[in-house]
Amino acid sequence: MSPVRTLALLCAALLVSSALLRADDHSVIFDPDVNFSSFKTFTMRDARLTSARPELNFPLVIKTINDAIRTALTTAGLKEAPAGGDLSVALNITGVDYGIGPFGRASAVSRGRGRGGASSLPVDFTEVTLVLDLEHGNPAALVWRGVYHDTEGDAQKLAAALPKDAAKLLGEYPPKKK
Amino acid sequence: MNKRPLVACLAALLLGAAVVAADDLSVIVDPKTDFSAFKTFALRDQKIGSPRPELNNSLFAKKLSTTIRAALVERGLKEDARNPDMMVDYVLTGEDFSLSARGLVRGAGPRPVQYTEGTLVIDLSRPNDTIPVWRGTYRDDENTGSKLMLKLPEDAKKLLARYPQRSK
Repeated sequence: MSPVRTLALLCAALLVSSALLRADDHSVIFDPDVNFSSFKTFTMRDARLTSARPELNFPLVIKTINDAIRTALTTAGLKEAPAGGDLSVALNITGVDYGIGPFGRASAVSRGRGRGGASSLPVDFTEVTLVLDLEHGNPAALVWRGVYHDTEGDAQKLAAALPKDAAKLLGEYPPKKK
Repeated sequence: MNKRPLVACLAALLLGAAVVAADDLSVIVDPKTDFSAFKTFALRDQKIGSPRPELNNSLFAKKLSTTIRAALVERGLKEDARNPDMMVDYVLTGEDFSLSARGLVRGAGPRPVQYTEGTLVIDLSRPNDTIPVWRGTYRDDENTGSKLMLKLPEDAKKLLARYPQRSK
C-alpha cells in the first residue's frame, strides 16, 4: 500500500472514530457546598419518558433503567426508602428522531405534517437525552444532575443502552471534591 | 502519485475543527465612564435560556455566578449586596445547529455535523441605570453539551479579564 493511501485511510479512520465519539456525551454537575456523605437514603420518583419510538415508550424500559439506578445508588452506600428519603431521584428521558435530508443535514422528524417538511423524512437515528436529578430538602433543591445524550440508529439498541448510561452517570456519585 | 484523497481528508478534518472552534469574544465599554469609581458590585439578574439540561439548571447558574464573582474580585472589586456601585447581570442563550459536511469517502454523500452554541452576555451597569457601561459577549461553539458546560465558566473569566484592573 502506498504511503499516501495509508495516510488517507488513517485520516478516514480518525474522522469515523471522531464521529462515533461525538455520538455519546455525558456530563455531571453538583453543588460543591453540599456534604454528600450525610445522605443515607433515597426515594425514587415517577420517571418520565417522552419518545415517539414504541421500543422506548415501553414500561419495561423505564423499569430496567430504574433498577439500574437502584443498583448504582445501593452500591454507592445508599438505602432505598419508599418515601421521604434524603435524596429524591427524578428521571426524565426525551427521545428525538432525526432524518438525514438530501443535503446531508440532520433534521428532527416530527409526527404529522410539520413545518419545514421534516415529517416526510424516514428516521435515520434517534437521540435520547437522559436527565437524572438528585434533589434534597423541602422545598426540593437540586444537588446533583447527570445528563447523558445517547445516539443510535436502532431504537432497540438505544433501549438496551439506557440502563448502562444511567449506571455510568451514577458511577460519578458521590462526587469527588477537588 | 495521487494525493487527492489525502488532501480531501485533511480538508475535511480542518473543516470539522473549524466548525467547533469558532469562538468569538467582544467587549463594549462606555468611553465616558470612569471605571476607577466602581469599588463594589452585586449580582442582579441571572438568566439561562438554553434548552440544554446541562446548562439550564440551578447548579450551573450557581457555578457561573461563582466564577463571575471570583473574576471581579480578582479585578480588585468587592462584593457588596447592600450598597453596590455596580450591578452585574448575565444572560446565557443556547442553540443547537445541524449542518452537512462532505462525505468521508468518495461517493458516500454528505454527512451530518451537529454542534451547539452558547452565547454569554455579561452586563455591568450603575444601580439606577438601565443602560450598561460595560458589556462582554462570548459565543462558544462546541460539538457536545458537556464541553460547553465546562467551557462557559472559563469564557466568563476571559471576558471579565478585559475589565479594567483596579489598583488595590
